[in-house]
Amino acid sequence: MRVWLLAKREFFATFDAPTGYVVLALFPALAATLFFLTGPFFALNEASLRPFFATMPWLLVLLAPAITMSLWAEEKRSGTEELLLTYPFHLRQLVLGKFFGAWAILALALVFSLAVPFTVDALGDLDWGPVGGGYLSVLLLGGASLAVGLFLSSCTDNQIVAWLLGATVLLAFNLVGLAATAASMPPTLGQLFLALDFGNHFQAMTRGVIDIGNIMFYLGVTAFFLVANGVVLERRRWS
Amino acid sequence: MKPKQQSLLTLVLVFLLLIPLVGLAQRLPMRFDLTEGHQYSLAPATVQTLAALEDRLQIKLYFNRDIEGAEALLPQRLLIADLLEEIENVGAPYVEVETVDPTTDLAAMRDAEHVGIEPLQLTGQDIAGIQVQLQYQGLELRYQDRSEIIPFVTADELEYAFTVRVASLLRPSRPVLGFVSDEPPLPPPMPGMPRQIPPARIFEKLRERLGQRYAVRDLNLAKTPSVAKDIVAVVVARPQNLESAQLQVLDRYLAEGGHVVVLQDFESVESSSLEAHPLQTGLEDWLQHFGIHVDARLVYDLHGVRVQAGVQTLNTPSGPQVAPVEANYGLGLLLEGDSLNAEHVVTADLSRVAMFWAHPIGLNPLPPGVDADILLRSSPQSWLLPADTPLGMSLENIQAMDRKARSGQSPRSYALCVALQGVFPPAFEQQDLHPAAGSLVVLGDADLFHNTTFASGADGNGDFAANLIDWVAQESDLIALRSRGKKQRPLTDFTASYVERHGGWEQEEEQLEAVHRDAVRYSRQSQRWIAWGNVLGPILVVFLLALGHMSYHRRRAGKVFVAGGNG
Repeated sequence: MRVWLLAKREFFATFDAPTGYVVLALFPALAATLFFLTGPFFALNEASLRPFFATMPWLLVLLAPAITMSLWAEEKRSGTEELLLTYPFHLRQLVLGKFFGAWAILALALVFSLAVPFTVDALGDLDWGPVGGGYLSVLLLGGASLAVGLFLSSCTDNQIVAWLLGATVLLAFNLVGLAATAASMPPTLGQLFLALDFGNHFQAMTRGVIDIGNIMFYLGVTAFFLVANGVVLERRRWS
Repeated sequence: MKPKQQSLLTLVLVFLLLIPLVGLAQRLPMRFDLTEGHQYSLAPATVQTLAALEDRLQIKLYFNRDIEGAEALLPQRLLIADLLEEIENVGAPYVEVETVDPTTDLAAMRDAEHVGIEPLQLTGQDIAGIQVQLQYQGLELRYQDRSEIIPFVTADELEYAFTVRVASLLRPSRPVLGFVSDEPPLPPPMPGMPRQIPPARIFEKLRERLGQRYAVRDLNLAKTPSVAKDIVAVVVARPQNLESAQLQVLDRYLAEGGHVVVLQDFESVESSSLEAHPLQTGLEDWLQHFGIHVDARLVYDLHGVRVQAGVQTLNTPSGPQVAPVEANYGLGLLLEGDSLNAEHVVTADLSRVAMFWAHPIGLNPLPPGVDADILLRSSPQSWLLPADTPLGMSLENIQAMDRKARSGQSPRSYALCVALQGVFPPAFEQQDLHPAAGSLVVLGDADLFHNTTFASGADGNGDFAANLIDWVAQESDLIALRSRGKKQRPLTDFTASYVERHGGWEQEEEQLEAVHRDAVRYSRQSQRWIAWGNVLGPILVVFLLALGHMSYHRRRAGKVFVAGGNG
């Protein structure tokens, strides 16, 4: 219940500043631009949303840290973090509250992008199975990306640094699979890199196949970074 | 323990707990295929084939791990690995998958060479110059003392190719297909020399395609008293002057439950000059007996292939430039959408079929107990041209054909391939006949399976041929497998719908050209509206939400102020 209250507060607080609205408008607008205007959608002449979902990991590299950059860094800079830590909340509840608040913003941004599948369905015979899989995978990938961003936001008191760190780490998570294809890479390490790649798990789900392994991967990454976030705050509380 | 150390220990413990948990989940065979027709799950035909295994099936996947410079192959490879994993799960405990890399493992390279798995050569350019890369993506299947090879496998084709080969491994021998044509025989093989294919063997590519599944045996009806019992279907490709005795053999085979596919043509066309030489088939009366009439005239379709019909000189800022002129070659029919029978298993999932110099097929009353389906038909914007029409692809000839086609007749759709099923009454007097249900498929064209058509990349024609033979040979389960993942989902054609709304395709040429120009403009405009609507729509909605949020806050702040004032 307390997590829910904190999440609600974080969610609505985002819209007290223009940043929340910018993220909300930018995410679906950029996705539609990359799909309809710069992408070959009309030239391909195929009612499919795979090119639309293919852009999502890269959009999240930019936008997930933008959602999370202020969540801890701003509290620390303005000195409200100490006050927050003295409230009768468990650290776990604080972290989860911020996380679910940020996740709700991403989910709302995704709702605004629903115009794209409905447009494609009006233009051709769209298979809705992969669309459902695609949105589920964006939510899971988004959750993992937000957890990474939240953790990095807790490590600094500067929002810009938090955003830069978040974007860099997420970019690395999205490119690590390519390193596995190099000849000089030892096979075991290559397998590990492939398993860690955000994009590989994401692609499998956007084609409409929901594998329990991929779901567990994203939930595992999310859980790890949320715990890491809690550990950073815990250490700070006692320092 | 200090709280700081305790929190760090928690993180380490969570990490150590998550690793095996996530790793275990990756191995769990729990997946939900949300796609229409479950296109990423094994089809019933594959599951059935795997269930028939009684011994170990070894699958050796030849994959080179280093795909630097060809990273585009990675998603495809992950799909292949995913499907093989599912095959291994379903085929357990008999199926074993082993992956080897011939670029790093010398023994694997020798094995690949020995079984005939060749690497695909990809050329790329970097600062060091042109680089040639060898990409292995082949599969070797071993079952008991026999083996089958897929030299280069793609994710789209894997399930079909795999199932067909495993089915072959499970059978003592391949099903046999009889092939009747007037082509010269193959020369005997010379040791150590590649076999020379005579140029006149114009259906060699078709044989190769069908040979993936069947043993194709050339059949001379003049020297055979009857069609051998082991032949599952007979293909009669562009017959010439078939005599009564030959027809009697075919007639008996069909009446006793055989399956016959006839590729009927009235001319043979020289590929280089497009000169047509008339042919006498000798089949007309026999087909007429079953209610089929193939017309010698040619079908001219407005939805034809685009060809280079000449060149034109354009005045550009950098001086005159020679540019190609493209035109619609109406005698080259591009059959897609409504031209393919969506209800029939042979054509339901095909993307397109290309036919050249095709002849319309008329259906008269059929014999009792025989049913017919039209598999292919031309578009509703089709006309008939005389059989002696020059076939050249020059702009003048194309324009002349177009004028001739439109003069006098109304356009309509013509049947180009019909499939009949049932008990066929014999056309000749036959002794000791044992009637049974068979099938007869007639195509008003043989050029769609000509070597040059296959070489031009008409993939749909190959799939159509294979589907047709699988259907007549009662292997329909495999047809569904072949078409998996190939369903086309085209977008609304704004250009065509505009033309339909503004007088249709039957207008005068000049008028139609003007309408078509407007239609192209309308199509581009519509696409632009859709794109910008999707880009600006969310921004507008969010802007309105922000305004609403602001005015709500202002009103609330005002109320508090007023309440405070009153108090």
